[in-house]
Amino acid sequence: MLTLHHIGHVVPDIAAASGIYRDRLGYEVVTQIIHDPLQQAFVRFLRLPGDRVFLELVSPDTPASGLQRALDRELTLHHLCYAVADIQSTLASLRSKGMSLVKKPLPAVAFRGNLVAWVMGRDRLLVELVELANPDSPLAFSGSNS
Amino acid sequence: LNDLPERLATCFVAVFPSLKPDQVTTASPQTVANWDSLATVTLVNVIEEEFHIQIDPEDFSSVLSFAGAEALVQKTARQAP
Repeated sequence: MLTLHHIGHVVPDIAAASGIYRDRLGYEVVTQIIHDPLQQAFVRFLRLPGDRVFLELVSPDTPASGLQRALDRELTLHHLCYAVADIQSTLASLRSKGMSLVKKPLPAVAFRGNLVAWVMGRDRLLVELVELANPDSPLAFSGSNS
Repeated sequence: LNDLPERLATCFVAVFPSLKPDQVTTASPQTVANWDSLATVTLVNVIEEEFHIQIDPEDFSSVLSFAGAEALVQKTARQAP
């Protein structure tokens, strides 16, 4: 079972984008800016008060990051991330339904080492999966402000 | 897989419609406009669907050429249960 966890938005400057989301739409900053070298990214999570789905601001950590190419092509609404209880069985299910594995499960710094994997379908919708013991419970991020 | 080259060519043209028939076997990211990492994954996706195989990310570099993709499909199909 999938639970929508966050929407990934690629931005050139996370601090600047955080201010815009906070001032314009009322988002609250949930985490500090976290560097994840395996994902070649800086990330920060925000959320609207009372909402359960997070917004992830992502920026490339180097010009060689794939995220830089997304920025260059203005593909800024970048991915949907779903929380799952068993990432391997979910990957097997999604691959049997026509999605390709883009990145095998790897521990993610932003999720306290929980496994993250990436898949994509022919529609080019990029989907991230994060394995959480309880996908329905609020997640304590690395770098959380609370 | 006797018809592998023809079916593989169909995959390439599905992802890169601008390819002419005589360009398919020499196609590469250097010769095809808009062949980026997203296009590579899309090509993998179309090949997986066409040949009912699953390709691992570490093999993606093989589909950056027609000959490489052909060899990968043959290898993967042999390994399939």
